[in-house]
Amino acid sequence: MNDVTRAFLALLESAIHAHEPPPMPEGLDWAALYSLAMEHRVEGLLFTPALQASPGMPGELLAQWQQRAMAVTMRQLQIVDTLHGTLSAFEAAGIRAVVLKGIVLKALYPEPDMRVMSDADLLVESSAFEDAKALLAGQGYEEIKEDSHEDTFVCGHPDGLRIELHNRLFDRKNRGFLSRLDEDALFPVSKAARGEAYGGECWTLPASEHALFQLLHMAKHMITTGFGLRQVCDFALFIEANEQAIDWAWYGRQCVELDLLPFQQALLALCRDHLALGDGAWRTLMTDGMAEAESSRALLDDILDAGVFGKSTAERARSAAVVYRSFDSSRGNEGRWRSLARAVFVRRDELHSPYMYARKYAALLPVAWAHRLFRYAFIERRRGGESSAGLGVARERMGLLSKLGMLK
Amino acid sequence: MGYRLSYLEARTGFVTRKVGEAYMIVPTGPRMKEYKGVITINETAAFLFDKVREKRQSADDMIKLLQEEYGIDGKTAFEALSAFVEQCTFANLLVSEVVDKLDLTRNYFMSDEVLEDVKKAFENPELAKLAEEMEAAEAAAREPDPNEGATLFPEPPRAADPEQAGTSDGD
Repeated sequence: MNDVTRAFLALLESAIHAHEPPPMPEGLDWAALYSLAMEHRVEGLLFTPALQASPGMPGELLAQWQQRAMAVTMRQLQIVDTLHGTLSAFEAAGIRAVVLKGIVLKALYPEPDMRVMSDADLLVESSAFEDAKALLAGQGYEEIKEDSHEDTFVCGHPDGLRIELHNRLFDRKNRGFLSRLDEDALFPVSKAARGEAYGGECWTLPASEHALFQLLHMAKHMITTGFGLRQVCDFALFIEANEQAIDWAWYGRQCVELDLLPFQQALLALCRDHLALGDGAWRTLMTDGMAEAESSRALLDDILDAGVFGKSTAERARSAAVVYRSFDSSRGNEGRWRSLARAVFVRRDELHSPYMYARKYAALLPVAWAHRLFRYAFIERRRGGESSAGLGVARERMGLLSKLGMLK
Repeated sequence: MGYRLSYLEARTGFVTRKVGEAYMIVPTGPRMKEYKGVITINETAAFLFDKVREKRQSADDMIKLLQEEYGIDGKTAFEALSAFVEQCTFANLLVSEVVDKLDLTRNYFMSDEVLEDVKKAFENPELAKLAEEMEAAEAAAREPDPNEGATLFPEPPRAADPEQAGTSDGD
């Protein structure tokens, strides 16, 4: 870990706990720190502590950072305002829309406007899904067809808010630990209650379920490209705020059943060691200090490299499919064949540009499969160097996933 | 330059925020269509704007609040409030009585380009004539006020007869 990374983590910890940052090292590369903050979308969060610790920061960068923080504040205020307007419309229509993360987690930050929220995830009962879609259309949202799936309706508001409306939180056909997830039992909408959120109140999951959802969400991204530090900050603050409300015995059982305990332990160790997560009942989940510390260091390296949801580099993005398919391969020959088949015969709702025509016209699906093969054979393979780099990242990440017990 | 304002109140849909050492007013909801960016202000203006966001305020109350907050004399508070009202009125952030005249040499919250347009508009003879007619009509409709021109902020309107509201010297 270099000076920039150490300073970055120290400022982040100061930001989420609203205390004075420690002195920064002389000659610190503030521009590199700013870039890292931008990659993880925590530039707004870091602005106040950076200002407090900024004697060495170039004036030009300080001004740029200030402008950026103001832009973040404006944008976030407007997004939150639009969201509350939409939630009020759901209430008026008698549809229970459960807010996941987003404004619920924002409220935990000393400067909520600085915690960037790019979209809002809402969960509704399957029976209310169509009504909810119609309501959003009535509120001026337009569907983003490319991102919508069978169980998820993605739409954007003219004011810039993007909403992902779910009747399920995870894809039914997911592999790895997600295939063992009994979502209906774990996250029923009926369990939601009114709770505090930034800018008002909303329907939200109980603390234990919400903590588990955050863990699963990070794990889901972990098995593809990875996730960023903002999610770790969210998790640390959520645990601090809900220490007493979380049923740690239940939570621990879920982690064990889903083979996520080592990942959870590494995450908690990371929060403890770098984000000053204080002592609490969460310690009952910890078992082996040495192994957890080692896994936590490896996890932190991966997270720092990842950026928000692991899309910091093209290599990471390319490695995602390889890592994800390894879950099928890890289940023997049958899994390996299934994985290969899925690599070629991609589902319609998994297709992206330039194969969107097959999402529109089902009959063109075979054409899209052939088109993909052709592109791979004659275009993608020519990018040999880039592909190798992607495979290298994939191999490293699969090693980490094995260490975290997520890949057998 | 003279104002006859009976009260001050922020228009809905604006919030203030401090970012680092800077203060700003951010439009939300439908106001986002009127204002495409943020309005940067100083600390005093942020304090005053928050007060008029909380509730409708009289000028005297605002001056008292300023004196209490910053320990300044009445004259200084009066000047700060005057500048605040000018700027916020021009940026259309306040609900208040009509502003009679505007001192266009002041630096308002607008781009130079827009300021030039406004100046040109006031140079338009037809507009100037219309403004004079409006002023005359308003003057005819109200009781003579011995303090007019010297007083910026009168007392809040009385329920029985808001047009007959008294005046305050703001100090």
